[in-house]
Amino acid sequence: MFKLLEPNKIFSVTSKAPKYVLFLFIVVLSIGLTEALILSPEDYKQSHAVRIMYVHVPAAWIALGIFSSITFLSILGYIFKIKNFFLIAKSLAPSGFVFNIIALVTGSIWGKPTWGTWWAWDARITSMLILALFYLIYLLAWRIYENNEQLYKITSIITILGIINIPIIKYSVDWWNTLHQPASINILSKSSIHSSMLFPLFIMTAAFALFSLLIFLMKYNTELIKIKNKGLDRL
Amino acid sequence: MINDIFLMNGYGIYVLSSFVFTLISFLSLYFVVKVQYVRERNKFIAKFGNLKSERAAFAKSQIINKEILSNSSNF
Amino acid sequence: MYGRKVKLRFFFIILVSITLILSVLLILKSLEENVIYFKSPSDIKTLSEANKNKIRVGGMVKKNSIFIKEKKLNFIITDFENEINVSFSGEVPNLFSEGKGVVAEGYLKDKSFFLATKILAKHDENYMPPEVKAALEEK
Repeated sequence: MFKLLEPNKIFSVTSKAPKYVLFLFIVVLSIGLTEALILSPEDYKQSHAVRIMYVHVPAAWIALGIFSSITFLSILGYIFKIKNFFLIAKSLAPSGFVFNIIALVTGSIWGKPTWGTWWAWDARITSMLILALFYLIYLLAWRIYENNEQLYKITSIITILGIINIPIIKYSVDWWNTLHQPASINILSKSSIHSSMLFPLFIMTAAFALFSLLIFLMKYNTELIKIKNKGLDRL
Repeated sequence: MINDIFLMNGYGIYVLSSFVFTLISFLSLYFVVKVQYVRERNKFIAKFGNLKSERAAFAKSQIINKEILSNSSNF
Repeated sequence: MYGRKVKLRFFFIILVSITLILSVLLILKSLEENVIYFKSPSDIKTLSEANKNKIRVGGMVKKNSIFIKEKKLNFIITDFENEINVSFSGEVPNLFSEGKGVVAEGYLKDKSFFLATKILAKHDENYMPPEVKAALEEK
């Protein structure tokens, strides 16, 4: 089953894909931006500041999603010794980290006019900052260690330590008193965001997901070429 | 009308700065990754080019090397 | 189907994860006091002694409780069980209003009076256009 995921078979696809993904991303992003900045209504309470949500929330979702995928891939890669999974995990990390930073910064910009402060050490915000640190540690580990065996072990441990933080981020707003508002969108219950605001939110999420796919593909191709280069050196 | 879009009841500075920050992060990440990609690809082209002129025939005659070129069985 | 090593690594990961999750939960449980961002008026009532340190109190601004006297803003924070009087002078965020969430940072004078040095507005999870809000209120 995992044979299908071998790099040489994938590369023929991934090397051509980025330009189509880039095109699709630009189209979806333009729709998303017009919706988010111009067409969507203002909020009854926070007025136009609600528009910051359209970058803040998707960025946070994707940062969490990517870290979970990295952990999943690293654990599977560790148990079954599949090196390609580590390569995919490594290529996913940069966009996850950037989305995490975007979530923190735009949240801070939103906090100033609505809460009245740039930063609060509440459980949600602090745990999100910790996730950013885990991303950073993960990315640095790939730069520091040369030996592959070492790399696989160390990055697996980092992701397992980091994944514990994910449910804490998710439920921090329910478990403790936080300044951050509870989740508006729930799989099981009706969302407390009006439908006219949900549409731009989902379009922006799609655009951001496409962007992380684009970065992933480019990064993954770079890694594959690096391996080819090592192979050529050995000739 | 245009002014309304940018001012947003006084929230414009906050809204636009967060969108601009997002787009700038996107652009920087894209270009950093692009530069890395192009650098590796150029290295590959240079190496493969050298190989071709000197030992391509020899290299290609060996099945093992073919695998390395098409790659990854050994990574 | 899978080798012995694979099984061993699988159980190793499971064990490591369980151990880590349990220890993190334990740490969080013991740190609960510091993890929460603000106390509710009911928490204040159950305090054994008046705390002299800077604390935060949060809840709803009680309806019709805001009044301003000589640049001093007075209002009541309620969690619908207990209440606390808050006095504050300075700028409040735009979202500060009656019937909405608020977090006040400052010092307790006694168990029913709070001197705030900073007011933060707490937003709730509801987002809707003004027309929808108006329609909801008409109902």
